[in-house]
Amino acid sequence: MAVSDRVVLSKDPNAKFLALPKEDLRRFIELLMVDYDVIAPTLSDQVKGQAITFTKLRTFADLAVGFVDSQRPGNYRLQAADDGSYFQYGNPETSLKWFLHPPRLVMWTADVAADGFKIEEEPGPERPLAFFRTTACDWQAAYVLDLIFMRDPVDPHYRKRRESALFVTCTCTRATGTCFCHDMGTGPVPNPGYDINMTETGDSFLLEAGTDKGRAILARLPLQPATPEQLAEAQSAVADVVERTSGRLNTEDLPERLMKGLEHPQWDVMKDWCLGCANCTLVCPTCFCYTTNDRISLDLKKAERERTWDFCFSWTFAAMHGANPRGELRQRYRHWLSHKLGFWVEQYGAFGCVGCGRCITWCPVEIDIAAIASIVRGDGK
Amino acid sequence: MTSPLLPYEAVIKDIRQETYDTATYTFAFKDPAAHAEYSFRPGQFNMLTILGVGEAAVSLSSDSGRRDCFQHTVRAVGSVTGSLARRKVGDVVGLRGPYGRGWPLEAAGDRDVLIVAGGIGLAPLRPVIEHVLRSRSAYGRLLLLYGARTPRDLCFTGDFERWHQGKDLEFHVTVDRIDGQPWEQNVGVVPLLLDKVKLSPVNTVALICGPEVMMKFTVIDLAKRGVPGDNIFVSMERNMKCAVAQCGHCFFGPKFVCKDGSVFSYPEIEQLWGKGV
Repeated sequence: MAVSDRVVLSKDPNAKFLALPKEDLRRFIELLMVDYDVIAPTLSDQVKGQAITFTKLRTFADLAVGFVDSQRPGNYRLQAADDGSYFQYGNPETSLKWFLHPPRLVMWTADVAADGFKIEEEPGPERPLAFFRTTACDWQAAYVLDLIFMRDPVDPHYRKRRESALFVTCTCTRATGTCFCHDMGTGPVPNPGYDINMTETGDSFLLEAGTDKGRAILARLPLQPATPEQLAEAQSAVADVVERTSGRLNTEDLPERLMKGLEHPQWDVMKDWCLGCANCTLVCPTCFCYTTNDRISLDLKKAERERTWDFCFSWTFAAMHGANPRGELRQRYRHWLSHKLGFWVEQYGAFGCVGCGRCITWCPVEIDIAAIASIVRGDGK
Repeated sequence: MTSPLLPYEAVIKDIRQETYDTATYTFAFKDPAAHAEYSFRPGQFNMLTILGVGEAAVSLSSDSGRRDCFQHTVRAVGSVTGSLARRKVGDVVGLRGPYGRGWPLEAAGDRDVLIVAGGIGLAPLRPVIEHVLRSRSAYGRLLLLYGARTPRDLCFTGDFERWHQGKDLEFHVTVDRIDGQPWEQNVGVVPLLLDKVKLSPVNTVALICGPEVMMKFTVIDLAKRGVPGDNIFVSMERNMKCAVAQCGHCFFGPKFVCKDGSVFSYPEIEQLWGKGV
């Protein structure tokens, strides 16, 4: 597709861009930390600093600044940036899902007696969350999770975390290799609803308020209107990202094509290729399936129900007494992809996939969801 | 209670053994206000909590018009249902609901209602039988075809005499095979009972619940006899955890069995059924 160099930097036609000098980023973060628990990209402890992950900032120094990554199918490498850039890395291995829909959550506890029980729901986080540097695709993932958990009946646990959350999204000015937000209509410029959006240039962050909450925060920072040079630099970088995040997957008629492709021979290829390891569901920002586990104390006086993430790749996921509708890995792989890129649209009005590329990066056997979907949809790609 | 997803205290008022592994439990909510507010439609289900053990979906099997109590008929097959089987009258368990899309009684008004059930599949259909018997003039003929693997597996035998004797209901029962018990009625799989009834196909609404293979063959047979697909309804079963279309366990293609179902019209699921989705 032809990309005009008059790329828009915001989907809001009245957007105002204010420049924050890079050396003032600390003020921005510390301002957020006054009222919020700031969830931001940091170096992961678990893989000895070799990956970026979302954690709660203890101080500004925790923030992962000055790194760049390369992401390819089954491959993730991180190195120091040599050009003074701050956030030119792609998606962290984790996503906002880890905070909005935590992997383990005690939903309620109950005091139990012989004649009954009294339940108390979990109170939710103590302070509201501020998500810093949420890519456009991850922002769309929050919208997708809203469609699941904020429709009747509203999930109280998700609502407690989501309603008070602040979102500082970003327009990527560098594409890392596996993501395809433009194909999915989710980026690189984020869809409206964010509180503040940032676009990184050589010397500043171009900040744009999307809500009154965002405007109030920006009013407290030393900002100048963005110069035409800064805007042009951003536009040029975004245009490049548009090109690099296009052409991986044609989404036209995709749900119908996947429904028609339920017997496509590619699923037989997948049953020997996919490990069923569920890595993709872990890193996917919209996989939401969960199970519950009930526990009780030894004295039978205190019970609880814990929610934990579950995975449709597991053999037990759909198993019932006497039957397992998806007892074959072939069926389970087909379900995951057909749901993410197909059934989801009928269920919620939007794709489950946001084009973040994580499942491609973190698949140990290099399965590319977009490539597989392209085969099944039958473009001859 | 702050959230509609939390279990309420429910007291077991009565337990009636149906078979060696299935019992009908009569419940009332402990809190009178919660009980007064509770009602359900035939075909819906509740989620049963046994604290410390877990939660399972259980079909409502009583007449929905009865407001003093409601019943669940449950087979003991796992940790939750097995734990329920060890409860006594007076024990308190957790229940929340009702959930699911019930049977389309509105579509059946003035028409013949054909109920085809296998084994414990009769449980979610029993509310339909009782409802139609109570509002008899609103419906055409009421036909019940029921069967189980052996005579020992038949549920609701306590209702059989009333159902056999009534002129309001044509009732045929069968077993797949006899296991040494005295049995003078039909032997053979449930779909074969269709040979015993004379249908007005276009004017018949068929409600089917039982093992999937039984439902499949019943649907095929009904279609052969000219019952339109839109008149045929089945109750699908899937693994359920949340019952509110949020945990993903009950997915059946794009359908949530807990919310879009468990009752589906045949055309709704024709494309999906039998494909391992």
